Amino acid sequence: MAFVLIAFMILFGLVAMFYVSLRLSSVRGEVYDLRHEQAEELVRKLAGTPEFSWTIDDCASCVDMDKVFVLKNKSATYQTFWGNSVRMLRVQQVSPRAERDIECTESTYPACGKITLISRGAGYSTDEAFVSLCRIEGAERRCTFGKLIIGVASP
Amino acid sequence: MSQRGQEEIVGFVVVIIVISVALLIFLALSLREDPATRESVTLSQFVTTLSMYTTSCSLTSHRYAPLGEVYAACYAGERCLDGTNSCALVNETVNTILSDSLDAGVGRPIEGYTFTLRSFENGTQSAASRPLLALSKGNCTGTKQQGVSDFVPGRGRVVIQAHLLTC
Repeated sequence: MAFVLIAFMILFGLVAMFYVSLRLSSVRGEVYDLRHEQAEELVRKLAGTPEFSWTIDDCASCVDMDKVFVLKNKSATYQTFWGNSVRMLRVQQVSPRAERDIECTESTYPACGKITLISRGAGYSTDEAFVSLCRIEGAERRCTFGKLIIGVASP
Repeated sequence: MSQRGQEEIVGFVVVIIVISVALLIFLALSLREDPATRESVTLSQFVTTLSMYTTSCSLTSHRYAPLGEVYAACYAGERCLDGTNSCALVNETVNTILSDSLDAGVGRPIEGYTFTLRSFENGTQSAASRPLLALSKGNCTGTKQQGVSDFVPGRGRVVIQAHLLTC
């Protein structure tokens, strides 16, 4: 009887270990998801800061491209404005596809779709949030569909 | 001797019952699945941002209307000033943006998506709704994520709800 009990205990122990390892792997996945969500929240907050936000009329998800373009020209001042860990910061047009890979410069703006504010080497992971990229054209607001991408130094 | 044998059997039965209960609890915990569809802030923001996109449709003046206003025109059966069918324009614009931004397909991070646009006469809680648009791509089999955004045109009780489901 004692041997049967020992055998059951060993079996039960093995099953418990198997279960704990399964649970741990799912916890790791949840931690990854949570960190990813936090990073995305950070990007959304960034889109709402005065340096980016559209303030001419009410639009919570709009980024003012004219402001961002002016900011690009002052990027030397803003290199560490959002912290030393921010290695890359870019506003990228997604749709329409035309012009989306053209970097905005004095000569290309506004016929362009990408404004890179910070680009400081490699070794970072990126997170992004969808935003409307708006600017005044004529006397009206024109918005395209885009995203704000931030690259934070990997720990 | 007979009494000792009976004790052994009772003990054995108790051990079997305890282990069976433990295994049942383990099975119940391990078979408990994640919810089939998770709410996603990113996708909700996606559909909200979508409604701000400036289309090529003018509705009331020489101002190009954002997609959210063209949803309302589609619901009301109105056309753009140049005669374009507003529902056809919504279909084309949303389809283009989804293709440009989600890049769905087999072996990609997003395998498929479904986008629906519905109108609710008396708020989103009411059962009576009318489908305005339904677009989908790929096959949704795994864990799904969804985002919802409500658009209220004018001051009426009509709510137009955009819903995006990805997997």
